[in-house]
Amino acid sequence: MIQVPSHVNLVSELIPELSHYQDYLHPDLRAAVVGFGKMGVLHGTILNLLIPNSVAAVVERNRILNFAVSKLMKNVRFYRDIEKMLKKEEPSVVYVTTPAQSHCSVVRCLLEAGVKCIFVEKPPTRTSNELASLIDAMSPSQQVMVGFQKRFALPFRHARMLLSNSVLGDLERVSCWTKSSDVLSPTQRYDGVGRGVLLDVGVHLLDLLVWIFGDMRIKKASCVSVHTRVDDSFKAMLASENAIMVVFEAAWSSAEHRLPETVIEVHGSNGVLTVAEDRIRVTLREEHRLLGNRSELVMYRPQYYQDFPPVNVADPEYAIEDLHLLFSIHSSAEPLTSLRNSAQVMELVDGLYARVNR
Amino acid sequence: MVAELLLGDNPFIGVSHLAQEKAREEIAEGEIENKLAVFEAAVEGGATGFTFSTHPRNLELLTYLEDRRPDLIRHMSYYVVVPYAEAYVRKANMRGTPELLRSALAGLFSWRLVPDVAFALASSKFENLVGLFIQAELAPYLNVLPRPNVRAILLHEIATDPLIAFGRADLLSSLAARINSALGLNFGIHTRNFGHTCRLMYEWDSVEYVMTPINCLGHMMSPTRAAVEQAIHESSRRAKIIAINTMASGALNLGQSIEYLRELKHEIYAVTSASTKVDRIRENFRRLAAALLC
Repeated sequence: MIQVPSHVNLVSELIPELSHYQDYLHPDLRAAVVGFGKMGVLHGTILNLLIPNSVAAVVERNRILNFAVSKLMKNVRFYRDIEKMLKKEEPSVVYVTTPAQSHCSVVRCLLEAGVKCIFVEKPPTRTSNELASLIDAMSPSQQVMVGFQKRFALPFRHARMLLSNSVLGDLERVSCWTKSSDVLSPTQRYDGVGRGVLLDVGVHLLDLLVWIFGDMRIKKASCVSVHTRVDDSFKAMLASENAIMVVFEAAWSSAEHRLPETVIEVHGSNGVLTVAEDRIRVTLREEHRLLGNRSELVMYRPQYYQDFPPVNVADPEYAIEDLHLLFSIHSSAEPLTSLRNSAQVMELVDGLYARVNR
Repeated sequence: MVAELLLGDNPFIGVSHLAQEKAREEIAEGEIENKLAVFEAAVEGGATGFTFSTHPRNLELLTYLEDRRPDLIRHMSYYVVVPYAEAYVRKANMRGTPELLRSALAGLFSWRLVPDVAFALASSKFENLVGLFIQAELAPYLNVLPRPNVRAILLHEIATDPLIAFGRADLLSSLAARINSALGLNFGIHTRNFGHTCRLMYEWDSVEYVMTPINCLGHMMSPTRAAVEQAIHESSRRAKIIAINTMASGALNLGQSIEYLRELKHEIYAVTSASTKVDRIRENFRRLAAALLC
């Protein structure tokens, strides 16, 4: 059995912006979702459970999907064209959950139409140049948040908090990987994007690395294609600003990973910290106040997520991510994962692809 | 009043809501002989039913049981959760959602007579198509299970929660009628958002079962534990509540879990427990039976 700590103070510390989330649930929010595949349904469901009937419109270009879903959903108008939807609905926020290769053009269209608040699933664009062009196209009053939801998983927030308080002492090395079983047989689905696992699930891990450790320099990189014409696995050696060596791996053909899993293991002069979406484990040589004056800490999801988040659809970080967007709208604050805050990671992605293409 | 104690299937199919590393350990213990031993021990301990999703490994287990221990398979009642969500999420990741939809439709055409599907497509009642889809997914399992023992078909949260969120609680009633008329079975829902879904309960009053997490931590109980408790109070006379995740994915011990469930035992219809360990599952059901069935 796990020791169950009082979690309320910890959660408030990890996500202070959501302590009064009810204040951000404005009943007059009008949301639209562009692209009603798996992620569109996910975010639409979360929004509508948080604020009933807040999703006013859906844009889905695929005729079969548009027809099927429009028969199943009430109180939502379905469109096949973004401009028509914008003209008729005037949404206050638009979710972009289309395939990755269309993110840039869809977000640009929304920015040019003057949409005030946009959420775009990860990766925000294919390249850092595309991202820079979107940042240039933004007006000061516009907000664009990127779906780097791992930053909203409480174990990763906890790890960042512990590391920023030097719990491990001097950092020595990091090893990290992200694996999934998304691609176990040949597929052409990623031909259009032209980039594979690094841009798909790998970008989450890179985002976490940049968020936790700062800018990364590339030492080595290699990739392998097995089932696709793009990278099915990607390995790299990186170095942080403080010269900490980071061994990185992303793979989407790992049959034993029923769900995507992201793991970071950090070694320091005072101990080791291992963190994933669903757990954290810290072993120190000495007791530490942030570990409750103990030298070891092990926490799993149930100790973080109690009476929270207020909606449970897929992993809890998705609802927290959506609440963060609502907080950003309410307070006119730049989202934690804004386009601007995603520039560094997209430059790293470009750099890694450039290194393997040399 | 708690009337049933159900063996859950999560460890059998590599699901752990505590941590993925634990799920991988459990799947390594997933030899079919061990699953049979767990099944036997659960019955010895007092389990009266098995709740499972339509994962191929469960079909393999049930077929094995039918062959080797027909007495066991006839002893249990069954609560089947459809669809097996992970398979569809993976297909959507691999091929995209439109292609997933196309292949699901193609699968229906190959399973059922074309006119059935064409009629469902052409009719304004789109729920007929959803009903056919559920029937197709259930078919191999219903071929193995003793039909009188199948108590309910439960719609997985991946379908339930979007339907509720997008104002189609009425569709749940239509689906209940469809499942009842086509298969002669009761219908229920699976949700982690019972505090939200309950507010629309008047629209789905023909839904007979609600499967939802119930634990003293409020883990996976949305929006809050108090709201879910209130939902249970309001709905327990209209629907049979099946408690899952009662040990908060392993964060609670059985004693803590039972202590909380006792407070709700007059409003809960069934309680689940799951393990890959033979001795543990027997002990779990013995203690649950002693505490909740009296």
